[in-house]
Amino acid sequence: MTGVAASIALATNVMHPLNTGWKGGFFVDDQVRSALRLPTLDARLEVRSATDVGLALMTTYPILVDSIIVAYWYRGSDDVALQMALIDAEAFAITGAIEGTANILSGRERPYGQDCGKSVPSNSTDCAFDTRYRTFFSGHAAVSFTAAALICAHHEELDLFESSADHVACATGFVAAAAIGTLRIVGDAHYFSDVLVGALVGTTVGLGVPLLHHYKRASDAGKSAFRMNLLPGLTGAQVVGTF
Amino acid sequence: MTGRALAIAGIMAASAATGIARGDVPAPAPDTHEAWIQCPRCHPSHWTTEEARPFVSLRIDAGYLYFKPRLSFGYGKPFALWAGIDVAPLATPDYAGGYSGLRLQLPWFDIRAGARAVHAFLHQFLKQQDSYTLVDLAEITGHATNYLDFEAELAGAIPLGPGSILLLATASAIQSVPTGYDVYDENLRVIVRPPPVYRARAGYALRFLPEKNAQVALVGEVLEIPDRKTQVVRAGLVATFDIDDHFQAIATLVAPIVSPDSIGLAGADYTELGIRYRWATGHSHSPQERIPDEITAIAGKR
Repeated sequence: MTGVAASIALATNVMHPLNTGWKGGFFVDDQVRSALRLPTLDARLEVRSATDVGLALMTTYPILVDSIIVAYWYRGSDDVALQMALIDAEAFAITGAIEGTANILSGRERPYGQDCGKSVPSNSTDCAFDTRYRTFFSGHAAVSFTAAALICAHHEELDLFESSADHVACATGFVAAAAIGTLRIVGDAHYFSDVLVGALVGTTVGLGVPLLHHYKRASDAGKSAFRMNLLPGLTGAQVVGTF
Repeated sequence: MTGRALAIAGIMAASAATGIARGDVPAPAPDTHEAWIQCPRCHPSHWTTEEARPFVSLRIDAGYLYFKPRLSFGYGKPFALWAGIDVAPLATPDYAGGYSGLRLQLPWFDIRAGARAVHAFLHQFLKQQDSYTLVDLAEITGHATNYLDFEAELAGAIPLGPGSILLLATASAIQSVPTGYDVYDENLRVIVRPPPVYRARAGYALRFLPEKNAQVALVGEVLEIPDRKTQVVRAGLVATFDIDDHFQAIATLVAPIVSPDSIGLAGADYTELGIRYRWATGHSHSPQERIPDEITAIAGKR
């Protein structure tokens, strides 16, 4: 599943979007754009760079911190850490596949597209490359919300921090994802509807893959789904992870 | 757990605010026996206590979104004390290329010299001007960025006081750039009028946690671009977290403070946020490093 999804994500990122002629905002897109978009192109580009950093942090956190540092290093549970990382990879791959497919099928022009040749130089990569027609839906929002949902799912199911810090991690993830999504509008890279759909898809995949596909299956199998337990062993206490 | 969680979160937050992590320097021994018990995986010297030998080693740096494997052929103790050849293909969404060169790693110093080939996907050669903005950086000039960079670098981590002094000196000579154009160097992340560009970085690193396996360094650096008659000053944080002898988490952000250009984070060294994996032929844990089951079990109570 992960391999297929990752292949689709990769392929759709290389393919050219279809020429559907979809441009402009709908519903409240234009009002939100007017209210949030920064006035200068340089400022908008800078904000977009910041969202790239934010996205890197969001995607790295579940695997690097929760899986590798907390579960593997701190808890000493190789198996749980591996399973968490694989679940994360699967969710990210599925989100990437859905987002990439939507991008090329919709062929929607980015909001700044209407300014190409005016306030945005037509010989810029933004205008001249086909990334201009990849606005629906926002990959930054989708992936960030996937990460936030994964953080929530793992912390709430596993009590990784064994304290209210689990809830804080969960909430912080969604606040950060929302901030990244908003900044994509501020940077004029997406319409509100792009971000909203991205957030919905990301959250659905980020919660659905671990909770419905993995934790629930483990629970249905009559096991204490994906838990780390301290058990007596032949040579003393042992930490056992089940999944 | 809350305290530990906060410590980890703090380190990662510091990391988040952060380019080059010289993470091959092994963590020092934990201060106390208790600390060793607390983290048997962090027992140091996995790489430094090995026999010298001919070896092939692999170091993979991976994160969102880059993949940088480095294959090394050498003699000595891999990742600790050795000399040999590096071959490193690399791929990111911004550029692809490869590096190959010679390397000598000593206890406190790591010296390398080689050539890097770069093909950039997003940035093209830039028509020469005094300063640049992000809009300039995004301009299509009709000259795709393909260049060769001859570079030499000295990295040092010298123990002093409670931490270590970090030093990094880089000299690069960028080739194959058309006359009248500058180039955005994807490696140093600075706009260069080729060929020469130099970097000098200094900082101080402190280790945290009982196992001393978390390191955060405050660094500052100056990039000299002689043919532009200008310098770029950057400062920031470099953080590493040793997970075991194979895995290490890395994060860097060194942001511009003084620069003739206004290219935002494109001018910052934040090229590493992810995981480093190290492997070498002949790598094994010596008997004294093997962890008794009883200790592992005790550690499991953390």
